[in-house]
Amino acid sequence: MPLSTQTEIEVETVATSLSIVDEGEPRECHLTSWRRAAIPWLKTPSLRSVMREPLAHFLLAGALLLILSSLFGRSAAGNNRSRIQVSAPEIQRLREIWTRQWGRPPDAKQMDNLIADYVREEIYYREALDSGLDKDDTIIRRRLVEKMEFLSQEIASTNDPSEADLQQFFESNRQKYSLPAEAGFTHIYFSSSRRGAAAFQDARDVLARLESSQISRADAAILGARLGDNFMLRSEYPPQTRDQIKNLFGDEFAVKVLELESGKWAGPVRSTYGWHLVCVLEHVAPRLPALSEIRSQVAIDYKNQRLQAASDGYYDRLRKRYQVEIDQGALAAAKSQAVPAPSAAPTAGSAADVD
Amino acid sequence: MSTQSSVLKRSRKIASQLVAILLISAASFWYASDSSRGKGATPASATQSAPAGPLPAPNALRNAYFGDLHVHTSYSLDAYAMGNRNDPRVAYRYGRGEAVVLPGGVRSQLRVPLDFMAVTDHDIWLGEISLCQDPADPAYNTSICRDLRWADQDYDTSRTLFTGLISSYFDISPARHNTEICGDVAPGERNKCVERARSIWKQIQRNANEFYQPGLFTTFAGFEWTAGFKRVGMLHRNVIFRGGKLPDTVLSAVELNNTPERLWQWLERDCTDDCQVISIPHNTNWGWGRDFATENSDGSPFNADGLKRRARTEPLVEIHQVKGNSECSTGLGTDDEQCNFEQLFKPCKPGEEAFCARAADYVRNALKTGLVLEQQYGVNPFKYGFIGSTDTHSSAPGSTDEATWHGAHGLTDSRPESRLDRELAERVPIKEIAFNPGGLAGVWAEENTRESIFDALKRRESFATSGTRIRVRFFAGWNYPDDLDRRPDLLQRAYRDGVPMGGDLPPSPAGTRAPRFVVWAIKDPSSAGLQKIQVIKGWAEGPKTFERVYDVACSDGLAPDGKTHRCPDNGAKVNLTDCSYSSNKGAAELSTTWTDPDSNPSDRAFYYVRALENPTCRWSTYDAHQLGLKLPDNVPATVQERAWSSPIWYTPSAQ
Repeated sequence: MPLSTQTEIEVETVATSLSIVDEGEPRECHLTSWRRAAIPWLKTPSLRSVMREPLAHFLLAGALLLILSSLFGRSAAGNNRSRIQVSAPEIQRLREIWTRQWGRPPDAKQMDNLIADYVREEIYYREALDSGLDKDDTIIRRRLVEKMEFLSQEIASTNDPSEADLQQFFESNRQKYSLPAEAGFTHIYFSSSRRGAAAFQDARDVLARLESSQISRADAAILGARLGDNFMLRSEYPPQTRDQIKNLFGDEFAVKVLELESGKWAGPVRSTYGWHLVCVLEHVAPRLPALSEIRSQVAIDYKNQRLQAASDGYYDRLRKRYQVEIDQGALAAAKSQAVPAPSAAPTAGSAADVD
Repeated sequence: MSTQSSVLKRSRKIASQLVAILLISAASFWYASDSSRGKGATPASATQSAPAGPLPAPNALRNAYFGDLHVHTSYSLDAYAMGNRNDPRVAYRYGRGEAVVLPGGVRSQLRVPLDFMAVTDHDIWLGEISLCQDPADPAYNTSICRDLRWADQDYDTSRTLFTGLISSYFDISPARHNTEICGDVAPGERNKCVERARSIWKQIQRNANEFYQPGLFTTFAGFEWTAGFKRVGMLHRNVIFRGGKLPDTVLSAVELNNTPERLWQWLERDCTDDCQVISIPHNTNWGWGRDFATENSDGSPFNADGLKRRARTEPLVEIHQVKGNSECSTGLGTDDEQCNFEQLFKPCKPGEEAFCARAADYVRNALKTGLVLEQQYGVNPFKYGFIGSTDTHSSAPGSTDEATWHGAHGLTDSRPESRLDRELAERVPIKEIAFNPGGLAGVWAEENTRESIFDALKRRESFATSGTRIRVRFFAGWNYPDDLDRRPDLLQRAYRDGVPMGGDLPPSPAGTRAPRFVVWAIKDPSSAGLQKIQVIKGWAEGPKTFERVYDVACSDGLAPDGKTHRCPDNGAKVNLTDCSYSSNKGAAELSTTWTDPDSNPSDRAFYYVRALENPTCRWSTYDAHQLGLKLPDNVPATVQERAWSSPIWYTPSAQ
């Protein structure tokens, strides 16, 4: 352990900002790209062969760490650096600012939010100072914090995914892209609104005729509306999942159609609208699609994941390095002074329901 | 008397605040940090070039698709101020059927994904909201930006801020940018808000392109052009582009000085070649008489060229959305009993200027006025087809289910307690309970692509719903057989020998007298049965206009009364304790071939269809149940969900 814990952290910070947060790739890749961009002379052949030596890597890394450690080491002041104390005066100050702004004191939940924000702000502030963001200006502390926040958004929003990124993301999420069973079908409709209770028997009669007269499937489909009734939706559907069929015809119909033998007329099958004779043209078994089939979907998900990871992961990683000590007595006192809210606010994320 | 006048003053002040609010609700923003820095951004067409597979063959007889063309996200000033932090990408994810956490923390998912949508964030303040979130810009530290960023803190904060912001900052009816954010530079190329809006407009296009999946999910680039006038009067329009090379930037209502005529001129000038665009007015119920005025917006008289441009650019109107229905209002130009549906305002009292309803605000009356204007100018500027949409400000497109509605205004109406009880914002005299979940846009198109759906909108082969998924077809012709709706070649023949909704019935051929109509609707598979279909006819005899409502198809074996033209009550009931409804009443499907019994071939006329469901519980009834409260007495406990076809017009041959 030649290096202090503190130095390791600093190195990680720098590496993170160079590598634009990409958990999926080995760190080496980033050093490679950084090397190419920043040190043109590495491109000469003789140096290149030298640089392939593990010893050179070791020396270079060591030198880098030394430089970093001398740059940032000054701020290593033992454990105090990672301790945040939210003291009684600080809690009181936060409370006063809020009260001034809103004309009433914060309630318990708002007080918690204020503290959480304060902690977040303090952490970002310290990180920002350590990253040297204060060097270019005399901008205020809050501004520095926001620069850090901004950095985390920037990280996620740059760079298109490469084909390799997408492929890798797709491979590691393959199960998510499995497609359920599908059925493509054609059908003849017997309207309950039009025929009343006779719709079912009419459908059976037509089925018997279809079975005895050897009418070809193609002809029957064309004859559909002559044998039954006009149908406002389509008479023939390419392969559809149960959900897709359900949204159009109701679930009872969807379940039935997926179970029918393909290539022959069957029924009557009941839908939301009446009775149907159905001929399944094609069953497609559940399967994992190729990336090429669902590329745009994967690209969207990949981007979502990167945005999410950037906003969650960035702060989480920083937050883990800190122990936060809150003066619970002072906080409880502040909360007890709160005016109760007019009605209970729902806890974010707790009320889960689905349209 | 002095008390009264102070109340009056106060209400005027409130009204002016309201105006600002509404403007806000029209205007919007954005926050995505990447658009403004652009270098590494996704090229506009990166993902759209890779469709999942070959598209199914187009259907020449056309399929019904459902969409939402009025959607606000965190790019919109008012949505942002209401604490909505879900950006357009989240809205698209919601629209295509993914589960998403809405403002307020509820996780929600559409039961049925949308087929198409557009994010239409407010044009005004697009740059301002972006700058407010950019720590690299000095605007970031202004107090207005600090306040805005605080708006997602919690319910109360958002409410307080929204109220405060609209009254103190967003008085934007005199068209201008915020100098605190944008600096003292006049709007133009050097104004940094205008510059920023330009890059956000690029981001808006990238967002739309990223989510376009031909055959599955169609997206359009667009924005809401948010012109306002005194006391939150709305001249708002959603501008929707078909594709091709779009204009470089958005000329907002600020740049165009709240003048719709200049919007149409700009679009005609800058959207050319393969660029096509339509502009769709909405909330004419908030027009205070101006949306369908019979003069230009500056008070000058109409002229034929201007009206032609308007008619070319505006084939549609959005007649139903969260902030009320604009089809018609019982007592204002009509005694139609079904016009008392999701009305936000009561008829104006003498001297009352705003926040009240007048006949000129309603689409049906405008259609009638259009027939008269056409006689004067040779062009009908109010020849509108219909769509519905939501106008969600919570990035929740298509969320129109009464049973699971979570509000439409960010944090401010995210809780059932506030929806039932509160006003839109503090001191604003509009109750949230008067809002509704909004509507959907339906189209009849060959396939689910930008080209096909846009072309359907443009030719008005579109319909509106109050949020339900009723599908409705409507055709007119002179030589249809009287049982065409039952013939197997119905659609082929209906198209060949007549016109679909949105079309023009040609002059009557010799020997015919009355036009015939095919009227056909089927229910939403997950809602109540259909109660009846109506045909609504309007016509002009010289400068005088008339209307008549005919029930043409009744459910449950009933027939319309020959004199009143009404179906008898089918007896459908709703159990208000659990919201169950009569499952043995109503029809899965209704159709008829109808002949106008009062046709006069020398009168200009229009006809459209309205299909009504049996009653079901209104959202407020579900909310009251959830909270264990007694049912509200200031709104109906039930609604009759409905669909409206676009009209078909009849113009006599040269008189």
